[in-house]
Amino acid sequence: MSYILELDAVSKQYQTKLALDKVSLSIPRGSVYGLLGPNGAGKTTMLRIINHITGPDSGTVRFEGRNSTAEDAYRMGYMPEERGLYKKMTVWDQLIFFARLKGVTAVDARLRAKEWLKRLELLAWAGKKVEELSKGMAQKVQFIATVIHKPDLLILDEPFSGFDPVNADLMKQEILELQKQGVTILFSTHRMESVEEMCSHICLINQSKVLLDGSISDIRKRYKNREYELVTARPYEQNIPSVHAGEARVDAHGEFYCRVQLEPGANPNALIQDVIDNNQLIMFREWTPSVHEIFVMHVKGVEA
Amino acid sequence: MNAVWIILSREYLSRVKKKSFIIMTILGPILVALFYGLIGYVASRESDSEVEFNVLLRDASGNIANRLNHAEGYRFTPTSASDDSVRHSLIRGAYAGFLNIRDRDVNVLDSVEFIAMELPGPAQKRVLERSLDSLLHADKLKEAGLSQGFLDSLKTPIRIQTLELGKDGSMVNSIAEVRGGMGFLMAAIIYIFIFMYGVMVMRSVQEEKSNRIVEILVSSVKPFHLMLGKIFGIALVALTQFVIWVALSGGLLVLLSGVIGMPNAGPGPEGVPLQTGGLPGIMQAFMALPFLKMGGLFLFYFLGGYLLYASFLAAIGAAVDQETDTQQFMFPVTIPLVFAFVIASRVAFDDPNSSLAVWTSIIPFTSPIVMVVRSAFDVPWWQLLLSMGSLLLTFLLMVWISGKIYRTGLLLYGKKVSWKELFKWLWYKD
Repeated sequence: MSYILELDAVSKQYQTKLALDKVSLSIPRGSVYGLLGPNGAGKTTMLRIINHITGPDSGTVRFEGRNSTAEDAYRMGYMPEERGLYKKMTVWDQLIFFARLKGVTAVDARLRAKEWLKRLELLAWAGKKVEELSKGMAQKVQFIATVIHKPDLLILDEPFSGFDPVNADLMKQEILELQKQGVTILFSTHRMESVEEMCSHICLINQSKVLLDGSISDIRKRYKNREYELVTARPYEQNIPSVHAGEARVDAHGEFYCRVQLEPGANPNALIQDVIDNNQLIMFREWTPSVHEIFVMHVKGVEA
Repeated sequence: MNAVWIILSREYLSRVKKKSFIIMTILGPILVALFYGLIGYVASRESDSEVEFNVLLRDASGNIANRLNHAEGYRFTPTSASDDSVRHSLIRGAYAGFLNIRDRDVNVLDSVEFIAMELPGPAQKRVLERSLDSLLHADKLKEAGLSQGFLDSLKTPIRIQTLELGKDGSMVNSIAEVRGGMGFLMAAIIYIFIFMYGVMVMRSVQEEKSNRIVEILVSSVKPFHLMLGKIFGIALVALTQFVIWVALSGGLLVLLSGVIGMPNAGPGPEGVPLQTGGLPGIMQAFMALPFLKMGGLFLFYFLGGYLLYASFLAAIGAAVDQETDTQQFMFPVTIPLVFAFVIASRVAFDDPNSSLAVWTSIIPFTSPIVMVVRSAFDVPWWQLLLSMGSLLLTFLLMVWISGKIYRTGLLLYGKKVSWKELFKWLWYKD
């Protein structure tokens, strides 16, 4: 697997606080990489180091396998958490300005600005000043300004905060579309549940340290524990010895939910057969922990 | 460098296209002209105040009352009434005031008093004093056996016509006041522009910081380049405004001279007599100013001074979170500039070569304002070189310092900065 970006033992100390403590991670090319962690974990600092806003105190950052230089920032698009546009400038001038700043020629900048405005249905607003736009529209403009120079690595700090559900969904679609075109997406969020379905890879970060990272399926595999979720028409009664029933409740539809764990080596088919014989099976699936649950387990594990 | 250029053109275009800029630039000279017209009008009206003071006069000396009748704005009524009855008539409002010459010998200090419920203003009081003064003056002359006519003949005005001799033998009419005035005007423009546009730089940096655009900017531009682009972009705005102002004022001047019929030609060819006094003489002296040298120096000191102060102000804008926090950092800008401006007025109309003038025109924090005034006169070349060199060096040093502060300050939020803190930032590595 080729990595577009690798961090090796990167540390950053602010006056009184260690923001990153020997952080290492690798971002595969073409992945959607989620950087997850609570507020103050060091996510924004890491993103700033990656796109050369600030430098690490120690450790190395490699872009496409070689040491990253300031020029690499031209191939990245960065949308900070606190969005910022020139309020008195028109949407059009703004997009051209940001594109030119990232090294796009004037001609290309105009073509792409038009294309994107059309795509996000903002063309009619091109001549308006940003202060005249609604918040949702301004955020779309911000997004265009981030991607107009066709970055290879798109870095989004808390991309969905402040978006209404409709626009948040639109953003997700656009981000995934870019991924299909080969762009690697790196984004940070503290709301872990909201991004699970988007990410192919994640990195959990807490208190300046990486807790774990890797592909989401690998991580889940690592944490699954022969547990299964059962929904049945009548309360589940344990008939076979290799099963340990766990949490059980009646769900909103009056059906019975139960989480069970199989003993090592036990075959889940035996469990299904038992339910079919003695009950009525509505749903059966392997239980895997959510990213949030993994995070909680980890934090507790670290503290214990 | 490309990025500096893109930043610069954005800063320039976004400001020059603003309505407020266009209006200020076009209306500026007209408003200034109107303003001075208004001042002139008010000043000329002040003297013909119609209010007359009806004043009771008691004269112990006996030889003033009958002669004191030409004090403008006063009408005197001689009286010999007692203090009490005078006071009564003042309170009743029959008279506005009471002039009491208490002593037989008016020469004694404090021998004259004026009592009123509403006292006259300083100008009116001066009128009264001057009238009494001239009466006594005339008395003394008479005592000495001199006539008023003799005195008048003493006051023959002498005006020295100053002609500057060139190396080629040509002579040019030169009036020190015209030189000083022109120099002072240039100093005033530099003073105003440094403040106006320096603060504009600070505001703009501060605004970019507080609405976080700067994070996007510094992901593609080095903070130092961002600062340079901004400072030079705004410098161009200032120059644009200045050039338009000069062109407009020049146009107005030509228009005026056409109307009034002033000669706007230079010193004239050989043989044409030099005008000496009056408006034509002033015009001639004005036209004979070393415009090329003054213009070049003006440009140098304007840019040097602006860059020196604007780069410092940019650093301040980057260091603070809110505009209100900038106050404590303003005094290193305000104090030298105001000081320089005060000196500039002394230099312009007093002595362009006093040691204070020389030193402040060499020290880079005051030189942009003081030296341009001196540039209207003749400045020894070594002083000029020293001044320009030190301004250049200080400006480079200041840009370096500001770049350091700027870079650190830009991404630092939620911290009240102090001078000590700023000093520490100078030694931070990237």
